[in-house]
Amino acid sequence: MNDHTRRVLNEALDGAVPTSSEAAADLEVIASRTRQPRRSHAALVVAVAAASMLALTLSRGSPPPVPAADDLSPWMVVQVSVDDRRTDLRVRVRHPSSPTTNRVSP
Amino acid sequence: MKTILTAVALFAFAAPGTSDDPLAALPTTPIDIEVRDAPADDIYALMAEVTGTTFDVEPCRPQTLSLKLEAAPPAVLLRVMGSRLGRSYSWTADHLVVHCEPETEPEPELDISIDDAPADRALQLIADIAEQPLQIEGCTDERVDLTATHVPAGAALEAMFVQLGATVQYIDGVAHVRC
Repeated sequence: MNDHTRRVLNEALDGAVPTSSEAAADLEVIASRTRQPRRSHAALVVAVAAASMLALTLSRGSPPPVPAADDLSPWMVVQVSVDDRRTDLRVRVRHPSSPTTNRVSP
Repeated sequence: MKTILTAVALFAFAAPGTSDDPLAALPTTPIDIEVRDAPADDIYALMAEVTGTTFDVEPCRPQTLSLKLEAAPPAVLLRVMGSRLGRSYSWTADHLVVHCEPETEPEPELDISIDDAPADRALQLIADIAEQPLQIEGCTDERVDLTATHVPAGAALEAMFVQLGATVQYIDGVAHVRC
């Protein structure tokens, strides 16, 4: 997922702009890519996420605010490796009483 | 084989269910498990023990896997295992049957990272990829972090339902979700 598709995805998720045909196409690209997963995707996702966090930290000069631990659900972690093919799923939810200011932007 | 197991009941919650989903009949209490290089049959035996459910596992070619599960319901793990091992499930009487062959239509997989997104928008996105019709009530105030790599879209969707504490009813194939 490159910066463009990440931006389109974030915009579509946040409702900042209506989901355009271009955005829909990009989301379809993401979906179609995942139907034929490649091993390099995991490293790419991690690399993009790490780069985004680094850029955000550098641009702000300080780490993003971190909500109190009890505002977040615990991470749900599911990892399965079979024949060198690995699945990773991590999900957590911030509930309404929580701060919502630690959004990561491209 | 090196196997480490910790199974911890964390909390109960309202869980999704569907009449045509064999995994919907499983207990929904989240568990923690970590297993390394274990035969698939051993994992299914373990899950049978943890869930108190009878598993009828068809003899398949030997496969080993490693897995780590934290605060997740068994159904999410079994969905991922089925996708990775190429196995499918059915529910017969009070048995969960594990078949060697995958379903004819492979489930779309996700390779995506979402940071602090509104829950309703994230749910709709994942449901679109999973080709699961969805009607959402609420879920506008919660925000979701999601990282998925080679994850069946249905498993990711179910994980989000669980984390949101949402109630889910399937009516004519449409998932009605309420936060």
